Amino acid sequence: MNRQKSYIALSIVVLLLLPLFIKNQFLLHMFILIFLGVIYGQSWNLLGGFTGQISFGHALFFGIGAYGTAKFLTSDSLSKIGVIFNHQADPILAIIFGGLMTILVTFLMGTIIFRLSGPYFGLGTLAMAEIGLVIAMNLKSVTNGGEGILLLDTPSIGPFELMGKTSFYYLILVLMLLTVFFVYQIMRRKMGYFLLAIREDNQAAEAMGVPTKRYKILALMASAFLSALAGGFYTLYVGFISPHDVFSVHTSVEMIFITIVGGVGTLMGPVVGAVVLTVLSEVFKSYFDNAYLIVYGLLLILVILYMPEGIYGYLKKKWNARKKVMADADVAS
Amino acid sequence: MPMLQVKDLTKQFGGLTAVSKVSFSVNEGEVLGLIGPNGAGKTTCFNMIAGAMNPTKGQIEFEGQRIDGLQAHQISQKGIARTFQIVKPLRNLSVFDNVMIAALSKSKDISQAREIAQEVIDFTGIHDLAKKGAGELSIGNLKRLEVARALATLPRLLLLDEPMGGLNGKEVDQAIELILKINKSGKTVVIIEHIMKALMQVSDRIVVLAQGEKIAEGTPEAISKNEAVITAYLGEEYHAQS
Ligand SMILES: Nc1ncnc2c1ncn2[C@@H]1O[C@H](COP(=O)(O)OP(=O)(O)OP(=O)(O)O)[C@@H](O)[C@H]1O
Ligand SMILES: [Mg+2]
Repeated sequence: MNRQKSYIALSIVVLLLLPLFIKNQFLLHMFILIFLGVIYGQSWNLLGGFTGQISFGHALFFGIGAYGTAKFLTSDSLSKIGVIFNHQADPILAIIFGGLMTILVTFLMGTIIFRLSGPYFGLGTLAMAEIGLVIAMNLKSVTNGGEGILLLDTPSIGPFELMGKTSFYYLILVLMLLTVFFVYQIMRRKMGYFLLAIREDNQAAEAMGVPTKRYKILALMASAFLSALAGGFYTLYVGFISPHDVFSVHTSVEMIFITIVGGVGTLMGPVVGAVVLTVLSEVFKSYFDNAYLIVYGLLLILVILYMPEGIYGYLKKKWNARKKVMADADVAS
Repeated sequence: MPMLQVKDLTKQFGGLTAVSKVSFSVNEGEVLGLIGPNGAGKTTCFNMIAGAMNPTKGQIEFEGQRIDGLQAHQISQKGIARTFQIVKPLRNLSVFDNVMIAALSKSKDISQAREIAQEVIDFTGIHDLAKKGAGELSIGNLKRLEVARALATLPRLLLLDEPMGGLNGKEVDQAIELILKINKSGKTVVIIEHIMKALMQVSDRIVVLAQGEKIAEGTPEAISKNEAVITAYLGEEYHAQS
């Protein structure tokens, strides 16, 4: 256990020091994408992997987070809240605002969506994300419609301007570490065990005294909040959002892939998945140009066929089996 | 006043009346047997008492309070636990975690739930299985896990739905012993069981359902001689032959 802790501490130190040595902007960009992938992988995994509620519409939360952040920074009345604290429109407050908006939406949709289960739940979430897209396209007074929202000013956190890859690297690194820690804390508490019980058998969980509906809504809120953080960061990083960028099915699917390839229902799964998929998709892009999606898709099919427990799940199984063999050998000798 | 009182309980599924105006009561400290041919409505009665389904009509009172219409987790909080005829283990979790989670909703934290789980696991004699995945258990052990999990919610009333279904002779004897031990520890039990010999051994009283209606009630002795009960079961055999 302690060894595990020291590995984690070491990795965090390495990640903190990394930008001092990496001056290659593209490489930093890759790290940023990986960390972003970890956040939305964790987000999807909390609801899909740990609670067993498979969503095809997490882009909805990503999108609301992105738009909430953009609105906070660009609307006069909202950004004043930031000014009170900071003399400037504060991007951290903006992201939190996006997250709160998302929680509000999940609160409203929670009781309806959890009347559905299994594939119907999946389709329900898909439909909700499509509704989000339609609203973003048409509610021009708020979202500026299809033209999207452009951030004109460079946001800064206190005296630190969010300019250049290094500053974004640190912002997303912190958000990612907080996300992983948050999910870890949920899963080792009462709530985590209740979520697992719900995933395994909803009726049994109820009979064991678990208020399943309440916990499903809580899981949805927590999960959606994390997706909103990712969306908020996306707004800051790219500086421009439009409905089709952030409410797209592609975003929803990406979250699922990261989790499945890495390992569903494990804390490390989305981390492994984000690293593997981000690196591979960039490599494939440079080798295969536009055909990269085909190679990427084939790879996914192979993983799902031959490692249904994901890369991390597969390695863990191999590792445990080896440990067992070695323990047996110890006993024998 | 009886601990549990069921009055005119009725459940319809579309056109089918699965349970029709059934009334019975359970006294504190007793073991009540609930029997009847397949499809008699026994499990449906449990489902309504445990809050898995709402009754179409009728009332259920537990310790003087109306509980019909409450949700299953609320019933669990009131002190009623049930097992499932078709077992529902949390397959990807260990036996210990299965029992621990059942204890969690009544515990202030995980360590307290662990203590309760350990006690229940010792009480039910499944400590050898504690670390195993629940998905790997034999049917006999799955039935014991069902009972252990129900006990871990610290109920005063326990509803057991065919806890001996699929067990071999030796396992049935162990199950009988366990049920008597549970009853001795102060818990009231309602048990559905098809194995008559076992049921006669554990029950203080028996209620008989057939085709959704209560057809008899009495001591095991009286029930085994009851005309209506014999006809109901013979009728079932005739059906099976035709
Ligand atoms: N959810 C349901 N929907 C529709 N019909 C149901 C449902 N549950 C039970 N039934 C029907 O209600 C009747 C009573 O079923 P129930 O399961 O209560 O019988 P039982 O006495 O437990 O039988 P068994 O001894 O076979 O377990 C049956 O005809 C059954 O098909
Ligand atoms: Mg039944």
